[in-house]
Amino acid sequence: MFAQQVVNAISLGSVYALFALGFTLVFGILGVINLSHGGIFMLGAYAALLLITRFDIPFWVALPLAMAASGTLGLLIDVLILRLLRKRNAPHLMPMIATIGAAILMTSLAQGLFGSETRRFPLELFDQASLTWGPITIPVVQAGITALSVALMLIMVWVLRHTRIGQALRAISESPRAAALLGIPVERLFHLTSFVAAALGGAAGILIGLSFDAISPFMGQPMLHKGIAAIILGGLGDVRGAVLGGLFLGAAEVFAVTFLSSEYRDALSFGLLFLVLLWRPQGLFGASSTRSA
Amino acid sequence: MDWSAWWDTYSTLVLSIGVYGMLALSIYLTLSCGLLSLANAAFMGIGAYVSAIITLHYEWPFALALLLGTAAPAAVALLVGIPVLRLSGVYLAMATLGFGEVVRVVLLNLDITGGPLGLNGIPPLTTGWHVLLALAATILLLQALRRSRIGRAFEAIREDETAARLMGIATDRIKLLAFVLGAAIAGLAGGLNAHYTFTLSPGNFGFESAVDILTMAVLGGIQGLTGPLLGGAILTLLPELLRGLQDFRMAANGLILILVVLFLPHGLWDPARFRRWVRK
Amino acid sequence: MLRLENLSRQFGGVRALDEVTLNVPAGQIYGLIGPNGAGKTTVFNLVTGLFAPTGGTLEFDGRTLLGLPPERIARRGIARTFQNIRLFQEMSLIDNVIVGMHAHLPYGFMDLLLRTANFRNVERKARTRALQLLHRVGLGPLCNELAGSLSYGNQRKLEIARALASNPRLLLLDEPVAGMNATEKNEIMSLIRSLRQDHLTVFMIEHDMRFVMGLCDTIAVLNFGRIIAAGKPAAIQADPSVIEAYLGQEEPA
Repeated sequence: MFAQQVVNAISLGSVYALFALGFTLVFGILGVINLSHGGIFMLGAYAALLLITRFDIPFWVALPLAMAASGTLGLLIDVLILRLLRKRNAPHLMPMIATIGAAILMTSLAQGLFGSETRRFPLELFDQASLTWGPITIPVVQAGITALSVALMLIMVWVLRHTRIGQALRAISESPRAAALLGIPVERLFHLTSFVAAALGGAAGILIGLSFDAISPFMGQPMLHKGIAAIILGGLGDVRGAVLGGLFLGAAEVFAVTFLSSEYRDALSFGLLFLVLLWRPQGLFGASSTRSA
Repeated sequence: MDWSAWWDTYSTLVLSIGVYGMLALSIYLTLSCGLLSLANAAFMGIGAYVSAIITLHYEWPFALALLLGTAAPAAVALLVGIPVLRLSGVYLAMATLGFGEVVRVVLLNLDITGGPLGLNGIPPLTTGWHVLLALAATILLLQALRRSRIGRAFEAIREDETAARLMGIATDRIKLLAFVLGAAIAGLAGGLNAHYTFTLSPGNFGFESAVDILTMAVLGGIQGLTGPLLGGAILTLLPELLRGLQDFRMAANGLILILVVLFLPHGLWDPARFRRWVRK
Repeated sequence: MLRLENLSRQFGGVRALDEVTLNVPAGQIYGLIGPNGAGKTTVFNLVTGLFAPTGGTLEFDGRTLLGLPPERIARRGIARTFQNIRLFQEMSLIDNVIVGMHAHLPYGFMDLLLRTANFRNVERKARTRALQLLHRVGLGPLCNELAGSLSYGNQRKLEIARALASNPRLLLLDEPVAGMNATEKNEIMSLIRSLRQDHLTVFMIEHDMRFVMGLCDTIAVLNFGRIIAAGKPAAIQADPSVIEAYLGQEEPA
């Protein structure tokens, strides 16, 4: 029972972590809370659904295509909105308010284009079997989802730690101005970050849509709230913290159901968020307020 | 024109303009201190539920219901505000967003609030005079604050909190005042709203409502009291004008937020811009 | 009047201030000089309560300032200006000055709500006094302009007017003439002299040696977080350790 719970927690937490990773990346590099990340997450799921059901594209091709589409959307938000605010040196509340607007716009567009009803990926495409290992059972699809999110996260962390782009991004997260003086193309890397973060958000949307077997225009908002909770639990802008925060939140939700009624589960992430903010605003895992990418 | 027929058709709309004007003013208070608090929809909800439960289950007088509907969210704001207002910027916005969600989930799960079904059959007690009176009182109160040392302290805190403290301004207390007063106004607006819409459900007070309220203030501008009132009126009338769009209606709100932030950072009602026009 | 004893402050592992002992007597103009990065502004930040010291004592009029938040220290009668000017840019000059009087406007919530005679009286007096202060620093005619629209020199003058508005007994000036031309410097010099005649104690940081030497009664020199000399201007000018500290700064490290 307990081992099964742990597996469920990791499975749920790893997708939360994937979502939170893109979210925290934008904050770490651009210094902006992008509240449209939930909208991108939702549209990513719809993009994959459309590719699979309308164009009969296999899942493994649709996934990268939908990620690219989400990435492009993130890039658009950066170029059309955030770039203008950067130029104007707008107060930090402005990007938050503008991206809230973008989130609402996306939700409403999805509602108008795809309807409000819940849609599903055609499950016959996927292996319905389950893996069993001792007392633990995990459906093949769920295992694949977990493996995929972990793989994407590992790639991201590797890029940030070990490549020249990663090094440049770390420099920007310390100080964009100093990085620009060192000849780092800050503006282009802002665009790249927005693209990659949104692509990860879109991937998370597809995987959650698959995992919960439900896609709707309203799936972005609750996820955004979980993402906020995860990255604040982990310390804003901290990549490792976002991953740990996502896993922690997944675990908290899975285990909470055993103690709390499921109605209160949604409040849990916020209760946690609230307490952490008051007790340790730098996050549970963040060493200090310094950002690290 | 037959006024009583007109009023029968449009009274809800007219009352809403007043009530949403009050809500926009309630978030204006915290914004004018430079604080982005997204808790006002939750405070509105607390006010609405408290006053509706009183008139529905206890049948106490309406005035008392409104009074408690104002006091209850203010008391909650006082308790929540003391720890939460130590946070600033993004952290404060996130914490108040979290608080709003917790309130929504609690409303959704309590018996006395009717759970997911909410409350129905709330007596229709709100009249145009009530709304007018409440709105006028709010405006007079805020106008008096604006022209006093407290209003100047709000502005000083928004511009430079550290410098404000070194001027001897007890910034913690001033911010708490703005937060609690905003909660009280939002609660009163909620109480009035409940007694002309007759139904309440927890969904009315979630993130979308918080954003609605914010949009009103940002659209109108927070340089004075006129901006939020204007923004409240526009956003109340807009859905009526956009009826034909149906599912795309909320899109207008989103687009407005983006465009205003990008191109009208001081909102529609910006006295400084008007002065520049006159000078030209 | 202001007494610092063995006051220390560390940032991380770095000792920004190392057992600083100073005594600013009432009625004096007291100068604090030293090479860049010596920790001068840190002294002001500790005195005004922006940072807590990591050791030592800090007294004003015989009462400790330790543990008091900045607003309480300000209300005790200490006002300051900033090296990197911190005005309320979008407020008018006169409102900037009236904000400085915040703690000294004796009316309550009911007064302002009902706009009582007391309220109107206090507000009217505040305006008059703010105008006087603006005239005193030479900004009277600009009283309705926005602070952000002022020239650099005028912004420094406005900061002084705003600091004076709180009726301080001790005024801390952080590089009051930085970026000013010769005429403006002379204006500030006579302003500071006139403040001393009004029995105000002035404690200032300044790089302009002629300005400091011509104005201050006592000068203390800070180098690498330590006081290396204190005394009359003439004695400081002749002190070999002071000369060395300043020469050392000229050479590339």
